[in-house]
Amino acid sequence: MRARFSAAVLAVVAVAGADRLEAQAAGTLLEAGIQAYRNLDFDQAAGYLQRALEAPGIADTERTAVLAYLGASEIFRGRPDSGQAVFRRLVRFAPRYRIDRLVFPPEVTSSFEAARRATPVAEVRVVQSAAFRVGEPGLPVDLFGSTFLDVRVDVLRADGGMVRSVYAGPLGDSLRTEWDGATAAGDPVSAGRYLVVATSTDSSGVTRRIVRVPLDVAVVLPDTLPFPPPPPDSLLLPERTSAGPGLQALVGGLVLGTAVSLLPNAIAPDAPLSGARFGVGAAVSLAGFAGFLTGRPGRDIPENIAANGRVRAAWEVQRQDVVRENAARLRRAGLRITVGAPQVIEREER
Amino acid sequence: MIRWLGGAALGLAIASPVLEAQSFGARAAVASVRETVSQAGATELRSGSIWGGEGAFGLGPATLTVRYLQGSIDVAAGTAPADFVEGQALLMIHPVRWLAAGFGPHARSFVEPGGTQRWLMWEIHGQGVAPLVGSLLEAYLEGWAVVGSSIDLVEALDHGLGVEGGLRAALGRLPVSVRLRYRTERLALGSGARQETHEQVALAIGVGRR
Repeated sequence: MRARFSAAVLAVVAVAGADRLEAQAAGTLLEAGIQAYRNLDFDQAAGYLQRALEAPGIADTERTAVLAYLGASEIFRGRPDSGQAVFRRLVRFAPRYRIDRLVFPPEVTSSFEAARRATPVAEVRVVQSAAFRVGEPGLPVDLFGSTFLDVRVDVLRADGGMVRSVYAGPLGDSLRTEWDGATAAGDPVSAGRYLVVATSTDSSGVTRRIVRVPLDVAVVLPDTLPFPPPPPDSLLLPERTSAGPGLQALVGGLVLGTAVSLLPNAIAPDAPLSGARFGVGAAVSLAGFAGFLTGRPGRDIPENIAANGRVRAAWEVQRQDVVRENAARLRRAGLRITVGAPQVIEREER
Repeated sequence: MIRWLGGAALGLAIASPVLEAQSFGARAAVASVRETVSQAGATELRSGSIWGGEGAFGLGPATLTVRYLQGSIDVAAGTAPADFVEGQALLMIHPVRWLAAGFGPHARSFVEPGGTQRWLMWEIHGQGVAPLVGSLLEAYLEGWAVVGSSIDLVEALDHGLGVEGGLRAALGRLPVSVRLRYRTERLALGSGARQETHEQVALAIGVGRR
């Protein structure tokens, strides 16, 4: 019973420590390789280092050291081409790496430098997340070159469509570029998936490396102002005449014209009145008819149309102010960007 | 002198808000007059032309109108024309644009070779207005009754009624106004023994909207 329990504990410890043991294995092989190198046993050193490269869970720093010592070992094994190939692999893996001249002799360092010059690639580093307002200093994209090269940094939509060219030009040791979250037209991007694509090209224009960094962009829209309500009907004057004024003039003219003609007879029934009352009464009636014609329904009222035009124009000015203010606010929309793992596409070595 | 000027300035300062709401009007008028007098079965007809002027001063809803006309009218065939003079002052209140009421004296005199006949009547007026073309053209009808009189005739005035109607026009934006009116006035004297009917057709042209 006791023996079974002990076996179970050992199994658990063994499983839990497997990763650590693997890492230790790569590290141990690296140390063994370095020791063999220092003992000038380059064949044995190359063997240890090759196994270290294939060891699972090898750390980046260990891989860098393994490649450096492996390349040097190959050179001292009389296989300079193989050493060059290892160094190129090292440069592609860590473009910023510079070989230690105090550790390696000149024939090794010169071979590494030759490999570095022949492998113009850029390393791209982007922060894991960023939050900023569109138009302000935004997402930093840091570039590190293995040697002098040309590089182009673009922001693309997930479907490959161009959004914005961030940088295109030479790259020496390092360069920081920034994407402000806007399109080429200066508008804020909409939410969605995008890519930062850094393309390294050599002096002959051949693309040597493409690094694609996925971005997940969320847009934080600012509050916008509501549009002013259109002028209510109570503020607008009637733009066409109604039946009221015309009919009022017609009826008023006819009634008063008739009264002017008939009332004198009512108050002086036996007097020989002149016919002038009929003339004036007819003039009043005709004036009423003229009033009906000038005020007939459906006629435009220019003064009211002009007054309403001024009211509507004032409202339109207010509306345009809000449109401009809202557009300005939207141009300053906030972005929250989550950066994914970069994908590196290398050109095949000939 | 300085006190007088200071008082005038103070008075103008106090009255200036009131004066801003005022309006004036002055017109020259010419009228055709026809007078019919019936008494004891006989009818006498007088007619002629008179001319003169009229003015109005408006302050808020109140308007004071004065009118003065004179001329000569033919009394009867073979006799010399009589001079005819008429004057009137009337204070009208307009509570609303289309309605007004007023009161004032109305004087008239006939100057004949045999003497002068003077009439002074106190009248109350009522007026209705019908706008025809905005504020440019309006028709009106006015009626009045005599409520007091002083006449140097043998007969006393029993009652008097009158009616006037016509057009008031303003010429666009110009401060020019034109008036056309017809008026009839019926006066009964001596318990109906004498009836006088006065007709007048007048045309007035002047400045101002009042």
